[in-house]
This record gives sequence, structure tokens and C-alpha cells, in this order.
Amino acid sequence: MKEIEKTEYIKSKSKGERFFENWSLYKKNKAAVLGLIILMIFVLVAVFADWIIPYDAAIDQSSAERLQNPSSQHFFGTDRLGRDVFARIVHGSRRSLSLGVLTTFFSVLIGGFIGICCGYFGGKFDTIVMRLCDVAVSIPPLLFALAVVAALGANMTNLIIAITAISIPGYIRVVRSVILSIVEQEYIYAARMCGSRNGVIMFRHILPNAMGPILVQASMNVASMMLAAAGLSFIGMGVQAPTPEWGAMLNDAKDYMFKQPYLLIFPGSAIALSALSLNLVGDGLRDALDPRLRT
Amino acid sequence: MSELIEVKNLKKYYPIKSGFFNRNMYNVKAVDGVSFSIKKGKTLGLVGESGCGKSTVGRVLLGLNPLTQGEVIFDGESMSTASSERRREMRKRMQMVFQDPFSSLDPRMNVYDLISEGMVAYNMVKSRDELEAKVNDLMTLCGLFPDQAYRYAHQFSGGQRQRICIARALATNPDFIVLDEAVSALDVSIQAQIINLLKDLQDEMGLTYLFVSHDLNIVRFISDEVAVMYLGEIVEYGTREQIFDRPMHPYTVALLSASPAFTRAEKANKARIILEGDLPSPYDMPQGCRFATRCPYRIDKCDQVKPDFSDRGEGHFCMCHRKELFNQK
Amino acid sequence: MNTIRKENDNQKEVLLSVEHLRVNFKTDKAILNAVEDVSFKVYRGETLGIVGESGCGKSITCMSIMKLIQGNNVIYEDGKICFEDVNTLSLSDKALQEIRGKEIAYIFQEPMTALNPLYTIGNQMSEALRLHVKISKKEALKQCAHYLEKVKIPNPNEVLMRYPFSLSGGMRQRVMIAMALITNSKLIIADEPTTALDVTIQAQILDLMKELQGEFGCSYIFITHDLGVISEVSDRVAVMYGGRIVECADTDTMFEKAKHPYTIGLIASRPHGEMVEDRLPVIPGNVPSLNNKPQGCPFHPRCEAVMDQCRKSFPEAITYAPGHTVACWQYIKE
Repeated sequence: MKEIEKTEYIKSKSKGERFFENWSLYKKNKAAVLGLIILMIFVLVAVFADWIIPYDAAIDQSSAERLQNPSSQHFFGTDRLGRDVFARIVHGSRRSLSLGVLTTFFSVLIGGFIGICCGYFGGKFDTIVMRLCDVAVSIPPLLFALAVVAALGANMTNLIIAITAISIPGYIRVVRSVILSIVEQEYIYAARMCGSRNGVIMFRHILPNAMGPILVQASMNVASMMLAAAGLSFIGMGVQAPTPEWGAMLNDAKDYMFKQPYLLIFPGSAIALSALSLNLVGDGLRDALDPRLRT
Repeated sequence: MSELIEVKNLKKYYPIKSGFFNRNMYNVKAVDGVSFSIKKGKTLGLVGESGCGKSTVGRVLLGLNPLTQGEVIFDGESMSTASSERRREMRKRMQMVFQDPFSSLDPRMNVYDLISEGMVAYNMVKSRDELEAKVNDLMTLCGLFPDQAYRYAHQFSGGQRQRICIARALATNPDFIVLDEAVSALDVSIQAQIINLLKDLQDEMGLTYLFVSHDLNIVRFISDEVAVMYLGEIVEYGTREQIFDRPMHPYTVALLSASPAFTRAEKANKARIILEGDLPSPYDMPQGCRFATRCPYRIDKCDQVKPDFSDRGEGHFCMCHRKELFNQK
Repeated sequence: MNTIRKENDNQKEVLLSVEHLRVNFKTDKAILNAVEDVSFKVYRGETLGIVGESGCGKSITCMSIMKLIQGNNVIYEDGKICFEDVNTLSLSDKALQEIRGKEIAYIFQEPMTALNPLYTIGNQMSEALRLHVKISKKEALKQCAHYLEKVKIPNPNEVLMRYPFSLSGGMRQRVMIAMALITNSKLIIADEPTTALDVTIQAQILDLMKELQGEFGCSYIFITHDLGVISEVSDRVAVMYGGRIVECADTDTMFEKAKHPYTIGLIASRPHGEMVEDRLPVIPGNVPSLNNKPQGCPFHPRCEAVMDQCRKSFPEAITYAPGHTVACWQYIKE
């Protein structure tokens, strides 16, 4: 207790100081820093794709250079249409990353909000929403997304809408169950005794405490979002044919799995690496933002 | 002296639903017709074992859980008929300290935010400086150092956390505080500190307490009046002296004898009544007296007829058929 | 078992002796001394109460008797724990397994965590028995029912078929006691066994434990923070503070003629029947946590009789009266 009994007055911290404190905590987690570095590389690649390799290299077909092994000319080899795989991965990162991140972001936002309302207010609203979720989950997700894209037309925006729509029910359920366990905590009762209104309780007390599991769930979902997008692209309902996209590349490569494994390995590891990095970053954020882990 | 809070025939039932249409199968009667009143500046001790509904009484009283039936009158005004805005105003004057100082403090908030929450919610302060000064005062009052204001709850020991909880409860300037097992989770040497703090605050600010606890020794020390609960009902009610020196209900007698004695002298003049069996399940409550299944003095009448909660003189109430027992003064 | 040592001063047989036990926890930053230089004895057929507040090391001391806390970050430094002349600290895991549950049994605060929710009571009890005794399943169940009856459980045969969740807290604790007795354990270590129970149920359990001790002649180590419980059940009491035993005496002496300032303060700060004062006597300050234990005597920041010496080093325990040891500089003469 000695340390606590010092009597210098500690002022509240400014935003800058808090950020610095959080960052120094985040830094301690080596895996999270590694994740952040990998993620930064992916983001930089996506932003500066045109400077790394021209877009034409990614779509120019050449029957003479079909299915080549990696070489100094084509770092990752070429695919069945003679397109440079390296260029396709570099340019594909734009679509794949934004697909994964945006769909996750929107589904967390919408699903999270509905989930909080369900868990906090309960009652009839909760029952109705949960039954609707049951119905939504019972439809095969790809079929559902397909229907959405078919109705709205196949382009990037509608693809995002479709994939967001299929993952919302899952988030509602996860968030709701997390909220339900928090609502019963005594500090929520205590906040109500302090006269705080519902909005304050939901967003100042419940949400920060629910953030951990939500962050983890979200960062794990990014990869499956990318794959769902790939599935739709494969049947021509997503990103249109020549446009490079990791999921679509993976689908293309399936038939050459044994003949030309590079075709599978490179886009596969791109997806895996980006998912892994997001996962590590998610874990690191969760720990850095939790005051309980500070000493 | 006037009554600050009055509770009339309070009932709280938890419906058990099952079946396809969520039909109401039966009710668990957590609190079944409890009435009491507390005078301004006094302490009522509410004792009983787990599951007797003593904590539920406190929560229903403050509106944390809705009541099934009954009336709560706070400072001459009925809570049940008041508008919801008015009720919120009234609740400002009522506060609660919870049992577990670990789970009743939001782990993501620092002490400053925790204590100031009530004052912000009720718009009690005009500027940030005023708020800071108030938080400072409250922390000093409760024996905390103001320089700890920006620490988080997990950085404190159990006793200090309970001090934070008390400071938070005092923030809205309440008249009435429900102390729900407020010292039960603390270490023995810390319990005494907190009890003394509560007594000091009561003397200074004229606070009224409802002290909910299972610990008879502490209730005896802190309460002016005591109510003993068993399975959702108050079975005996009286002043501290009446309950502890001249208990009338067999359950109270058993409870008193079950609390461990300390010294040789105490052990010697203590007749122990060890109750047989466990509490009956709340789904199938006995027809007559609820204590009949465990009572060593049961007669046939107890199984069929529910005894009255009657005054045995000088405001000492008891719910038992066998009035001749323990009636010597 | 080997020869049993006889004590000269009193003719009781020593069942367990703990000598200079030290348990440290290694963390990233420092080595925390959870238990420092703890020595005590438990005699056959007696109850030793260990009382102390949270973090005083009482549970860790007793868990280390059977090396229940293990791992890379736990260090058992020197010290000796002799159970019937076997040093359990130096035993292999396999040999410990033999003793665990058979010779020494544990009863925990929350029996729900010690019972597997997926198996019936009968299943778990008979399995535990058959680990140590070679008998048929049917025979084992019969024994179980017999012991359930001993702990006063009504309809033992029906209870054997039930799952832990369908029993009340008091019943579960009775099952745990029956499980400890069924293998004929010589020492039962009860870690806050009644803390989670109601007072009337607590009284039942304490009574039952005393009664069974008379019948089976087992010894108890009773760990609790509740002075009342300690005074009810134990023959001797050891008071722990900050990882050390500060005072040890028989129960009546402890509650009437305590010598250590911490014990005195602890007993005084409990509200009791005939109290007339308006305020309780208080030990100021907070209970030290493991990672910022004070130097010297761990109690000195809260002690009213603190001396220079107390800040420097922890006093050797001295025998104040026969069977009454105190570790306090006040009683050490130059």
C-alpha cells in the first residue's frame, strides 16, 4: 500500500497522454506489434499498389506465359491466363482488404447496436429480434447473399451490403449474450442508482465492458468475410472477372492445386496473413484498453 | 421523530414460465407481504439466511427491480403513484451500497468518474472545478486520498473499494441508504473500519440505513431496530434489545444460537438449538407456518394455519402460534 | 508407515509437522514471498485452526502440504513437511498421488467446484474410493451409502443417484466430508468449508465435523477468516499475517490472553454481544497484498506498539508460555 499513500495530486490525463499510455501498453505485447507491422505493410501495399507494379500487369493475359513458376520476371509466377500473380495480389489487396474490413465494420456496428438493445431492454423487442435471427440463420448464408446481390445488381457496394447482411445475425447473438452477462453485474445496478439514464448506462458502462469479446469476434471474422466475398465472386455475383481479388484467385487456382501449387499458396497466405495480423491487433487492442491489466 | 420510509405489504413474485406459449406456471414468492418503517436517522437491520428475500426487499424498495404489489412511502410521498420523473427525483435521495465491492465498481472507470456519475446525471454541479472539489471532499470524508482519484477500482484493496462505493452513494446527497451486506465481503479488521465509518456518517449527516445482513453480531452492533426474515416473510420485528435479549420466534432463537460463540464464558451460557434439515424449496412452500418444517417446537396447528404477525407488547411483533414459548421477561 | 515420533513435552503423537516452509511465486517483475518461514505441528485427533485475512498465505500453506500448487512459477524453498515421517515436499508426483485423497483429504469452500457436474454423486464417490481400495463397484456404492448416512444425509441411496447441482450447499459439503472419510483419511484440510453456507447450516456442519472426529479420530486443519468458527471447532489456533505465523496457542488462551498486537486487535474489532461502546476498536490501515509487503514485521505499519526494530527484521517466534508462541519484538528481551 506504500505506493498508494504518496500524496502528490494526480491530475486527470489529457487525450494525448491517454493515447501514449495505451500505446506503451500495446507495445509490450510483441505479437500485437508484429500484427500491426504486417497489417501496415498490407495497407501500404494497397495504397501504393500502382507504384509497386502497374495495374495492366495484373490483367494483361498472355498465352505464351501460362502457368509459369516463380521467376525474376514474375515473382509469384503466372496463372492459367498468363497473368502475373504478384501484380494480382498487390492490386487485389485493395478490394480484398476493404471488403473484409468494411463488411466487418458495418456488421459490428449494426449487429452490435441491435444486440445491445436486445440484451439491455429484453422483453418483446428482444424476442422478436431473436426469432428473426433464427429465421435468418436458417437460410444458407451464401444463398441469402446471392439473393441480395441478384436483387440489387452485382457490384462492389452491393457485395458489401450482401455480406454484411449475412453476418449481422451472428453479431446480434454474440453481442446480446455478452450484454446479458454484463447487465446483471452490480455496477450496472449501481449506475442506475446514480440516476444515469439508459443511454449513459448502455454506452458508458455496458459497451466498454463488452468491447473485448466483440473485438475478438470481429477480428476473427475478417477472413471469413473475404472468403464469403470470394465465393460470390466465383459464381459471378461479386467482383467481376478480370478485376484481381484474393478470394477469386483462390477459387481460380483450385483446379491447378497439384500442378501449380504456387497459385494457391500466394493468395492463400495473403488472406491468412492479413487475417492473422488483424487477429493479433484485435487481441492487443483488447488488452491495451483494459484498465484491469494495468498495474 | 417521523418515519422517513414506510413499506406496506411489499410483494415480489418471480413468475416461472414454461411451455410452448410461455405460460405462467407458478410464482416464486421471493418477498411475500413485508411491512416495516424506519424513522429518520435510525437503522433497521434486516437479517435472514440466503434466499430469504432480504436483498430483494432492498432492491425493490429502491426501484431496481419492479415490485409485484405493495406500497413504498418515502418521506410522506408514495413512490408507486408518482410520475416517473418525480420518482427519479425521489431516488436521488435514496442510495445503495452493494455487497461485493469488486463487482459493483465498473472496471473501466476511474474513481473520479465513478463518484461523479451521480452528480453529473442529476445536474448537481455547474462547473468541472466544482465537481472536482466535491469529489475531493467525498473521498476525504470516506477516508480515501484525493490523489488516488484517477486510479481504477482494481488498484484498490477490498476495504478501499467499499469506501469508494460509500463515497459514490453519498454523492447525490441521499437521506436513505440501503446497505446490502455492505461489510460481508471484507476482511475482519477492515469490517470494523467500515462499520465505524458508516456510524460516523450517520451521526454527521443524519442518514437513515436499511442494513441487510446475515451477520447477527454486526446487525446487533449497528441497528436500532431489527427485522428477522424467513422465506420471504418477516417473522419477528422489534428493537435491538427485544430481538437479541428476548427473542420470541423459534427461528430467531435458533439463529442466535447458531452464530458461533467466542470466549469460554459465551460458550458456557449458550444453549444451542441446531435446526434439522435445509430450507424448503421455494416452489413448494409449506401451507401453514413456513418455518414448521424445521421448527423444533412444531404442533399440528402449525402445519395447517398460518400464524398472525401480532404485537406481543411494546412494538415487539412475532409470527408464531406458540406464544407461551420464550415469553419470560 | 514408519515409526511415530513421540513428543516429550506432551504425550501426543505428531501427525504432521511443517518446518520452515517457504513458498515463493515468480512473476515477470519480482519474486513474491507468499509463505515465509512457517512452522507448525498437527497432532493426532486434534483440530488446528489457521486464521488470517485475505492474502495472509493460509490457503497456500495448506495447499503446499500436498503440493497442490505447482508450476514453473512456484518455488518451494528449503523447508520440510513431514506427514507421518515422510517429507511430502520431496516426494514424486506418483507417490503424492497415493497420499492425496487417501491419507490427506481436502474440503474446499465451494464444493460445487470440487464435484464434477456431469457425474452422479454415487459415481464420483465410488470412483474416488476405488482409486485407493480394490473393491467392486457394487461394494463401493454400498460403502458410499453407509458413509452418506454417517454424515446424516437422509435417503443416502437416492442421493447417490443425484447430480451435484440438485443438492443444496449444505448437502454438497456433507458429501465432501463423506468423501474425505470414506478413504479413512488421517488428516482433513478444510479450507473455509462453511463460509458459503448459512449460519444455521454452518452450525449443523461444524457439529457434524466434531462428532465425526470423535468417531474416526482424524485430525483437521481448519482454515478460515471467521474467528467465531475457529473458536467453536479448534483445539489450537495459529494466526497468520503477511505470510507468517505471528501467534500460536490453544483456543482458550488465544481468545482470552492473546499477546500479539494483531491478534488482540483482530479479536477486539469483532462486534460481540455485550458491547456498550458506540464505535468498534479498529486496526488502522489496509491488509498488505503480496506484491507490496512491508519490510521487517509485515504488521508494523498498522501496529500501535511499533519499534525501530520492527521495521528492520521479523522477530523469531518465542515461547511465551507452554504451548503459546508469539513472534513480536515486544516480548523479546535484550
